[in-house]
Amino acid sequence: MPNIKLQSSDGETFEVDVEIAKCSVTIKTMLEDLGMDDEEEEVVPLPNVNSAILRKVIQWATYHKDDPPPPEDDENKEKRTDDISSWDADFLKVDQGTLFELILAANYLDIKGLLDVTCKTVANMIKGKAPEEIRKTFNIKNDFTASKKSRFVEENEWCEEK
Amino acid sequence: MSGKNMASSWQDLIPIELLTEIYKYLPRCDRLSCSMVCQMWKEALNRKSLWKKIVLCIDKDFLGVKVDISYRIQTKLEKLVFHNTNLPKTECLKILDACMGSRNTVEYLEIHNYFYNFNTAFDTDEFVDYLRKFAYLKELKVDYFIFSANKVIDTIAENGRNHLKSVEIFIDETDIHSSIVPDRKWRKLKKCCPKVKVSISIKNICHYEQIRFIFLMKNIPLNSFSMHIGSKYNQKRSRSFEETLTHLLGNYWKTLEFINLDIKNNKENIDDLLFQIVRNCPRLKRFLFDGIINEDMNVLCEICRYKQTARGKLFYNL
Repeated sequence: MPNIKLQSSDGETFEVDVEIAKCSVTIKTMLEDLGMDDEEEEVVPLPNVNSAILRKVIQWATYHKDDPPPPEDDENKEKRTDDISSWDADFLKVDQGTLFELILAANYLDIKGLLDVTCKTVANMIKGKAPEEIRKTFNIKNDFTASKKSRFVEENEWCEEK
Repeated sequence: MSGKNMASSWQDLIPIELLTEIYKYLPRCDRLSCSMVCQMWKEALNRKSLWKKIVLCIDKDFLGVKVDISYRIQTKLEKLVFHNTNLPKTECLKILDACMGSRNTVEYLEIHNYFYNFNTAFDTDEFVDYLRKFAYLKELKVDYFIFSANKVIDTIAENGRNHLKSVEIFIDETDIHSSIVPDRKWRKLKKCCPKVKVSISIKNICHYEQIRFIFLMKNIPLNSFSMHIGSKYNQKRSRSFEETLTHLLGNYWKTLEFINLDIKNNKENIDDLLFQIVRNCPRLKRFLFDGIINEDMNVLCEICRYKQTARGKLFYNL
């Protein structure tokens, strides 16, 4: 199997099987567009991904290399979040910062399977929480002005009236 | 890497598109909580891709009588469907009111299989007012009792210039006593919205007089016609499919593209008319017939022979 080299934003180079690298649509397109020959010793630069995250991404892609392509989204169906495989669940037992960077990397590299599973993981962290709990979980500042807040209350009241 | 430092960047760095991606995995109640977290999270809720279609599940969402606030703050809904709805009038009006934020983006409105009761919202003046506010409606699908109510057709005709593309109407046996939409109103619709295609679906009404004089007015720009007849109907009484088909052919031959006749055990011989329809409707693309053909297979042969030279595709289900 031919390998290619991927270079992270901080300059580290990773040698990866081409087929595994191609689970990233971004890399696949790059290779096709540049007409990179398998024999050439070219390095693909990935300026948006640092080495720690790239290592994780390659680890994920290697494990999932034989997966069937993910099914097309069905707009009408509510998406499930309880179908994360145990390997993925273990793989994603990381701090929030890493999880967040993995989402960004999956999006940039266009790896649908990884984007799905990371988004699901975050969705699971949100489910069933009140706004204040969500803020606390993700350390988010409440930037609504007082008047906006009262508008929310008003809208809520309208809902609850019976 | 410190988790805490990174966590603060949720607010600053995560693009709104990705937040919306995450919302796609959340049921509405959680989306609502998210919208109250901060400004950006609220904005992410309003992305078109998240709300391409809105389906109100009555049992799950509304029996507790709580119109979800997330609809109210939406401004980009495109589809609104009331299907098998059995809600009190006030609740329907509340839902419509909640969707007014999107009045310039809703392109598709469907109200079908509404369990008819005498306290419905959909034949009231308030409903017509809401309907008028959906100024960019492209597609409307409604039960006949709604369509035939006072001012509904005028409203969609006046509103629909340039936008309205299709109107689909569902008629069943309870509609025989609904009010009649007079031919002059159809003419007005056709004049205001020259591009509009009308589709009529009739269920469990089969007698020519009922179909012709109550529903099928001369000036309907009829694009699609379907007729389904349940087996409970008395075969001995006159039905005059022949006259119904002649009427279809005589009035709508220019515009008809789809015909579906599910008439099961017809006693009349309508072979010739079937062929006439295939031959004389130049735009016909699809013709389904579930009924009895009398004269051997001659009519079928003729249709098939004709088909070889005709445009479009025809499907038979005999």
